[in-house]
Amino acid sequence: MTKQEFKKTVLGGLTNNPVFVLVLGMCPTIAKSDNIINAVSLGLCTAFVLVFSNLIISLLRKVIPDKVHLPAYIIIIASLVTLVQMIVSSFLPTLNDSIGAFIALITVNCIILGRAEAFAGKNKVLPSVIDGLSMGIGFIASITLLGAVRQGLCAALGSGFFDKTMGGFIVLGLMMAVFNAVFAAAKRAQNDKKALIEREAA
Amino acid sequence: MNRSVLNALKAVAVLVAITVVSVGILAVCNMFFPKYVPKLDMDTAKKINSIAKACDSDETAFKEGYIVLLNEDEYGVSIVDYNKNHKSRRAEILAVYGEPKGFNTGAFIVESAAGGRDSTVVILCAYKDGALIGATVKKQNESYFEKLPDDLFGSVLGSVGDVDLEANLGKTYATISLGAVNRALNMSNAFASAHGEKIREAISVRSKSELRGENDKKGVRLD
Repeated sequence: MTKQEFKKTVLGGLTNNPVFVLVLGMCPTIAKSDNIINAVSLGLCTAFVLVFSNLIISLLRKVIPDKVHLPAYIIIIASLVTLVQMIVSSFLPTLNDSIGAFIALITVNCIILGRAEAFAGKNKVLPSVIDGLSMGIGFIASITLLGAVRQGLCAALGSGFFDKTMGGFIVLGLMMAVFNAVFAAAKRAQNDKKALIEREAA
Repeated sequence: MNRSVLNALKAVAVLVAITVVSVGILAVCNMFFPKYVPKLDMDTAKKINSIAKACDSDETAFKEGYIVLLNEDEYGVSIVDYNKNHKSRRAEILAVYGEPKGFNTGAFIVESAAGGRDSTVVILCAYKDGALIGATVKKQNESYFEKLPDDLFGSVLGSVGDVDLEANLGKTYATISLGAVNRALNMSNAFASAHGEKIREAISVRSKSELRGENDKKGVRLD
């Protein structure tokens, strides 16, 4: 893995943010970002599954035949999700009451299957784990930010809209626009700087 | 055997191997993770007091022994064995509570559970004089539970045997959740019918010891 590839993988959670850029895993993102605690908890559960599924799939990538790679990935992801559900229901029953139904849905979260298919199934163990961590942190950060904004708006303007699905979609859309605008501006500034350095050198 | 058959067999073998390993790991984890231990907390006492009123204040009912969690030794029935012998009902008994004093002295409450659409539905059923006097849902995390009517158990109060909530309530658009409630309720009813007498005896022993304790506090001697 070259330095450039390593940097790209580490920054994957930001440059290819699963929520704001790839727009994946929208169902739990909208449903459980109505408050910060639910958002962080679901983010952590998803990140755990993401890291470990990437690790196992990367380890088994040469053993799993190409024709059955999708069912194999799903079995691995579903087992990890079951494990998370068992841990949460045994040790954190209150949390299980609030996000329990959505933990099972992590199995079909596109972020996890997407990373398994696009990255872990084709790369070595360490880069796959780094990719899982980066994407996981990116997901936690974005869902927490969304949760914080929605909770803040509810506190300021009263509940009944921003804690509901429709309000969630509107806040997510606005945050997506802001994130992409800021990211594009930063990229433009970086390119301008690079061009200036090149011009000065010439 | 030609190459494509071998490839197909290899694919099946890999899938089977992954499944067996995954299930094995989960089964081992399941053996070591802590199991549900029923306990009487304020929320449970509040719900019990709403279906079988023991006294006016929920807090007093909880703190002063109006509602108690009965041990299996007291009524001599193993809940684990009972659940094992009634697996076909697809529900389980979790705990038995009693009311040794108060407005409904002698009433007992059975906590039972059944798997719903998205979660386990836990209900509390109160019995007195051999009949169901009240029931409520203690815990559920079902997606469509709000589609069920508020008075879910109104039509079955006074019953003892198996009931059919679906027939009583008609189309609810939450059939799976309602089925879970129904199975848990029927399991409770069956348990109450089979062991109600022993539970009542256990409660009456508790009532006597409660009374003795209160008299000791007041300095009254019972000869």
